[in-house]
Amino acid sequence: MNILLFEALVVIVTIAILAIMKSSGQKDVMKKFGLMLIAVFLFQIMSEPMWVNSNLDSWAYLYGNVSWILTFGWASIFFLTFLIVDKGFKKMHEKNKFWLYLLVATIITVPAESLILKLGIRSYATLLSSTFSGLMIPLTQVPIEVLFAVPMISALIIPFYKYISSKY
Amino acid sequence: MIFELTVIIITLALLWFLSSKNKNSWKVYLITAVGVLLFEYYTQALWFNQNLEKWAYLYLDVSWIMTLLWTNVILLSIFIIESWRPKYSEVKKFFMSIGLITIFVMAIEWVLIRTNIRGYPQVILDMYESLPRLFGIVPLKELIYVFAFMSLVVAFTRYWQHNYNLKFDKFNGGRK
Repeated sequence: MNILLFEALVVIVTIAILAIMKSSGQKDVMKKFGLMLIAVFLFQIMSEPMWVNSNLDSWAYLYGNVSWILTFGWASIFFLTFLIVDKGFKKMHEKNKFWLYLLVATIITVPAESLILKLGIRSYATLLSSTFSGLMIPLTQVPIEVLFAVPMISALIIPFYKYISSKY
Repeated sequence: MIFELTVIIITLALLWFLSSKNKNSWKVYLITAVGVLLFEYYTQALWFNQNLEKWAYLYLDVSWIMTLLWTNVILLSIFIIESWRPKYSEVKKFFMSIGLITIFVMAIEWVLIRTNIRGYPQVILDMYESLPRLFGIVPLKELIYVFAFMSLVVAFTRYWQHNYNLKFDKFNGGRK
């Protein structure tokens, strides 16, 4: 897949997910999107030295290694997760749905991570890859550690988004 | 050893004090500690916690003593802000807490670096080299990291407080 095509695809998927949220009756969709971008961006600031986002077009970067295209990608993953879990488990309490959010976000992220690894967009910094076991998730090039890392990332980003969007 | 014992004693004293003011303190403390631990585990490649006693480590250089230390800072800051400005909006109190936490953390990091408990991998040191240091020691970039880190952890605490209905905003009149 062409890099430009990937970037366009991320933007289109993001717009589509926001449109689905709007059509399903959600209010303040753009505000929610903005808050989610902040949540993801906070995490990207922290973890920036741990990975390398390369080969994207220059306009796709915010600064250094941080790409707004990938921020959009993460935001889409979380919103898609909310759409799936909230629709499938309407009556479940938030504290129980939280665990489903982590599971669904991980399931969506693994193929997405596999794609960006394949495209040469994602690689891992030595200080991180030196801690890897060398095991991969079957049928992918994704290190097994991603299966632990994604729920951890999600366990911090989702509460930030949920808390701030409920108060702001 | 003195550092580890100091942190444990401060933790016990803080928990005793907060528990005497609010019955949810232990639970809120535990939630916050989980949030801190999640973040420490995930970002462990970015720094070293060194020269602590063997029993102070949980996994590689992730130390439960450091988890207690950061949890103390967060809970104390939330307590101060909640007591000082109880009528402020949630969002205002959230950012004021982050501000206070950042001040505490920068001071503690200064001590940790000087006592050689905190270290950084070479690649991080190289990155810090290009940026100014506060008081000549604490890297300025760390200020941004602390803000990001603490925003996520404090929101984690608030989110689970809400889910379990653990109010931590009233401290008058001792145990309730």
